[in-house]
Amino acid sequence: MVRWDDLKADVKEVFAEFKKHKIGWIGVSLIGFMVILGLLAPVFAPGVHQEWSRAHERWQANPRNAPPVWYDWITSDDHARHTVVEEWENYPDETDSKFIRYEEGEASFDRDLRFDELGNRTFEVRNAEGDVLEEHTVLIEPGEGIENINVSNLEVDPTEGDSPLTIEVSADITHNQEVEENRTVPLEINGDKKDEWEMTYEGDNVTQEISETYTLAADDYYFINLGEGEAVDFVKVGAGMDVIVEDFGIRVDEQNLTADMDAAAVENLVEEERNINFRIDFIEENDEGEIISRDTIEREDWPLEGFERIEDITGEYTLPEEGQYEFIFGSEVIEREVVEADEDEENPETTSFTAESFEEDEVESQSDGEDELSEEDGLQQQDDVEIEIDAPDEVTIGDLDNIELDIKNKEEVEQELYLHMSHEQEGEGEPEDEIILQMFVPRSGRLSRFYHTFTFDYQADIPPQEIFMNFMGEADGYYNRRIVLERPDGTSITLEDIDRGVKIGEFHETVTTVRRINIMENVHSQIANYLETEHDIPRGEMRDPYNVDLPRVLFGERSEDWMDYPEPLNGQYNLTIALDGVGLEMAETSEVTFSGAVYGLMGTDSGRRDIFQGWVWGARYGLIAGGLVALTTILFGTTFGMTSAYYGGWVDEFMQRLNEILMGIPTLPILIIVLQFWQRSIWVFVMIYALLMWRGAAKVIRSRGLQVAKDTYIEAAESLGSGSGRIIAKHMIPQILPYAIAQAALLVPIVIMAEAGLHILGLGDPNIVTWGTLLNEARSSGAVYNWQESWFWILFPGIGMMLVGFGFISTGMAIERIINPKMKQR
Amino acid sequence: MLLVLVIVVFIMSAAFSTMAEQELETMVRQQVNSELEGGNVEDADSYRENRTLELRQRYNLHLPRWQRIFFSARNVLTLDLGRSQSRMTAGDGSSGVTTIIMDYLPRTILLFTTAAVIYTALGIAVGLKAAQRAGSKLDKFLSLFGMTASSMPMWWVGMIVILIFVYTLGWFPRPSPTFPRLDQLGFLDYVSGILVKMALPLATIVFVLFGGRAWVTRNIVTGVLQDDYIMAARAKGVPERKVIYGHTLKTAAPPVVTSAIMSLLMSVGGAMISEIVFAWPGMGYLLRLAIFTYSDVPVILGISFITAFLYIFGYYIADLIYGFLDPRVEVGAGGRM
Repeated sequence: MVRWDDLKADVKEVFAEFKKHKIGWIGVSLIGFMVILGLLAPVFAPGVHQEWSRAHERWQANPRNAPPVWYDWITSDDHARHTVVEEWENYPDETDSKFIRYEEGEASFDRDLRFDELGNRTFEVRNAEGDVLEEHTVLIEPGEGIENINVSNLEVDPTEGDSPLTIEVSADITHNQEVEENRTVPLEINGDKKDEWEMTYEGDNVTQEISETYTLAADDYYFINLGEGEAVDFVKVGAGMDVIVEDFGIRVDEQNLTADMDAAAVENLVEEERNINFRIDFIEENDEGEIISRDTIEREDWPLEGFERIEDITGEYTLPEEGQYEFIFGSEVIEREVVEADEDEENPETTSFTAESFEEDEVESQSDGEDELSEEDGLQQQDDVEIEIDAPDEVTIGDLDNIELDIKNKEEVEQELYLHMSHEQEGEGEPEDEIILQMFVPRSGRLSRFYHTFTFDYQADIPPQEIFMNFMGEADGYYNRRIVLERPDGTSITLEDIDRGVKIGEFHETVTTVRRINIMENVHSQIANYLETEHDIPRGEMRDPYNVDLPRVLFGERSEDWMDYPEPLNGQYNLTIALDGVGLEMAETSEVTFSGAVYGLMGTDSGRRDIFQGWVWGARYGLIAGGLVALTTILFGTTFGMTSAYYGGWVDEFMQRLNEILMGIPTLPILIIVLQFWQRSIWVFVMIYALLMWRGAAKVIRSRGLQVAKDTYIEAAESLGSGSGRIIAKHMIPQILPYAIAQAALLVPIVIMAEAGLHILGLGDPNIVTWGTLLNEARSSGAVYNWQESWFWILFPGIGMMLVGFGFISTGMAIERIINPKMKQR
Repeated sequence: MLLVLVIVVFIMSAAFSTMAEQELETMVRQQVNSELEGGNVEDADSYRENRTLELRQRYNLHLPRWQRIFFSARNVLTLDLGRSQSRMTAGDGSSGVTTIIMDYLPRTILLFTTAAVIYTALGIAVGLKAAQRAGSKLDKFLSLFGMTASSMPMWWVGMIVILIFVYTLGWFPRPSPTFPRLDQLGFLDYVSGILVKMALPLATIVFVLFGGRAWVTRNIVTGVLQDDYIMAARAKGVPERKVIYGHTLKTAAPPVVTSAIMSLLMSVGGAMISEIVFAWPGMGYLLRLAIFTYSDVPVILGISFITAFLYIFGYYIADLIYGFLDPRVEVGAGGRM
């Protein structure tokens, strides 16, 4: 093993030379740094490589599009850090009677109902079999004022034609009562009073159809409110209005939670450039199929240039979680789809329809899972039950036309009940029957209350992005939930006070402050009350609930500007989650996350994922792929080049022809075919690159080998009778190795960039996370459009590639510089 | 060259025929099903059977694998790429893969050759300057710039460029796949439309590639400048200009030009991906459409083959030019020093 000692000496020599080249040191330390990061990836981010696009739960408490933690250093503001609070204290006053809802042995339910018409309503309580247990008739009577007028069929449509910013509001308005006078109906747009509709009296119960056209200021979402809280509609006005979408399709891949959108033809009827907007909204519905919250997940603007132009538009999007989504293209094509990842569907459901047929296809409300559940679980013991409806005999339309029904379950028995309401219409025969409430009357029992108080110390200028509450437990049906935020100035804001779910058994609830319309409205009304009483600001001058920056308000100082631009209120905040219900058990795993205004080393993406965690795995996969290709290049290249150089003659000639043919093989088309039709896997990619990339190195190594083969000591070795294998291995390879390493080092960045590029082409490995995954997601979810919100998302993966690339290229260069003068000497 | 072409086509056909068997079977099944759903077929079972047989024959699925490979290779070599199986059509409404690709290919060639001409010329010029003053500030800056630029993916630079120039500064229109049409606009509008659209991708490609080019040129030229005959030429008083442009360039030209073309070929992939980022409706954009939106097997195949053709074509052009510039090499005998 004499040659090994020589090799060691050579290595030492190379290192000595290396020290003279600054650039080489920079390169090597960069590579070392990245390799260490890559090696530590499982420590920094365990499991992330497999869960990146699957496990939504892992990321859901994170802020969205939050800049990195060190963003504080480059901006003048302090940002609230991401804080997870896992410890809680019990609320000090357990006898707080506000929370008590159930009496021993009784359970009651309140329900607000809406009536479109006056007259008698019959309420029936039936059990699961349909037997009527209790019956009650209530007369709905008109009160005074605007309430005597009934607004129905409110429709808000963007006007078709030249101007994209006009809407047509139409509604049916009925006089309910003999108030023989003209009336006005207020119309509010986004909370501002816009108009008053004059309504002339033409007789009782005469319906008049009124429609008006309004011009709006800008492209936006508008809430139209006609009457006093009677009819609300939601419309998006602006871009896309005069654009006809001829064919629009969404393919949802439920396994990977991705959606592919394509619109084959978009025709612009307005002679101007405009953008057409595509949005994916996550929507939450209540039992009646009304949307209670919506959250825009993706938003992309498609520019349309010129007019009467037809073009193809495509996009692909990652959906963050299971649930119900609305895909809104322009303002006319809406598609709603429930995404459930559990189903192993081989072929993703493909739906497409045309804009013209949209009216017919209109959104169908999803079948209610609880229907089936309750039928299955229905109990047979209804005979033993005594039910009592407590309802007033007369109800006046006025107090938001509600009626309070108290239904009491006298026995200690679980019971499935349905409340039906029927309305006798004059002269129309059969009364209409309608299930208005479906409920589970729980077994009466011990009333349990849970008060968990979480403490958060807020010392910053920019508040947490949201409060994310996560708690689970077991309930026996119904329970009441109250969430209160106590602020350092002694005031408190109730975020939520609702009755939850007709659920039996385990529940797992997550509540976020940004996604719930009811929380927005609750907070808004409390602040509006304060502003009204303390500062005499009329409600008309305030923002509407959906335009309030909720975190800023929750963590802001009470002042005139509370709703608009409040100063941050620093100090200790207590968030109390109070649950009470019969048979309620809370699991000891509640946690509250005050998700930061900044997060992690590299921020988060629009799917709330920590970019740094994906990034370290990207470094790891990149280096593994590059390293493997480099190793095989050294191996194949050296073997091939040396054999060719050593034997010479026809062997050399033949191998050179072969190498030339190999050089002619293009990489990209082969990659496309294999990855597309076989397997989109990083290992397949590495294999193809390993098989194809050594050809260039082999050529360089051969030409160097030709020089070495002529050296006198090779001749000497030959004359001593060494075998050719021995000569190649022991005498020539150590001479050649630095060249091979230099060549291979230059390959690593090429491999990493190619791998990332494949993701953009759509051929990347979907099961892992690499820098390409990050960049492709950033590109396709429109991060390019918003520099301020997501610069970190695009910047860091690229910088990662640059660092690795710079490291390897400069190392390769340094090696070449060291060996080149040697070559000259010989 | 033909030999390489045939070999490559056979390799790719073999890969495709082996790997896409399942995909084709599914495709046939889906097509038959959709036809059954759409039309009012009387005897569904026999129709299914006949139609499946017919389609299987069209895709040669009834043949043994080696014959399939042969047929598919023959089709490709005669440029018979089949018809697209999805809604993808060419501008004139035909669904032939060749016509679809011919719609997109000229745009890629336009962008890429323009970029190639600019960055090669710029790269060689700057490289020569740097070689003349080896060790100067320009030289040092150039090697640093070349190294940095070539360690950045072209399309990532494209994303950053879009971020800065389109969305932050607003100097350029948003990238969109709509391409100006001559029949809709006047000639001047047409040309200016293309130029505005092309500016950013062009600048990006040039920015990323020219540093590396200049640096390679500089290295080759400095190598030549150390040769004895240059020293002799200088010693006998030949003016420096003539030394550089006459003596040195003559020797350095073959490797400079070949390496330029080779790096051009290597960057085709990157440029195709940049097209996607810039929504430049060329081959790369078409490829993503075919893969992502339509999953159109014939189109994907067609693009792969055409790209392969172009690559091989370019590779042999490089060989020819080498032979042309270097009198020692006979054309066709391969380019070796």
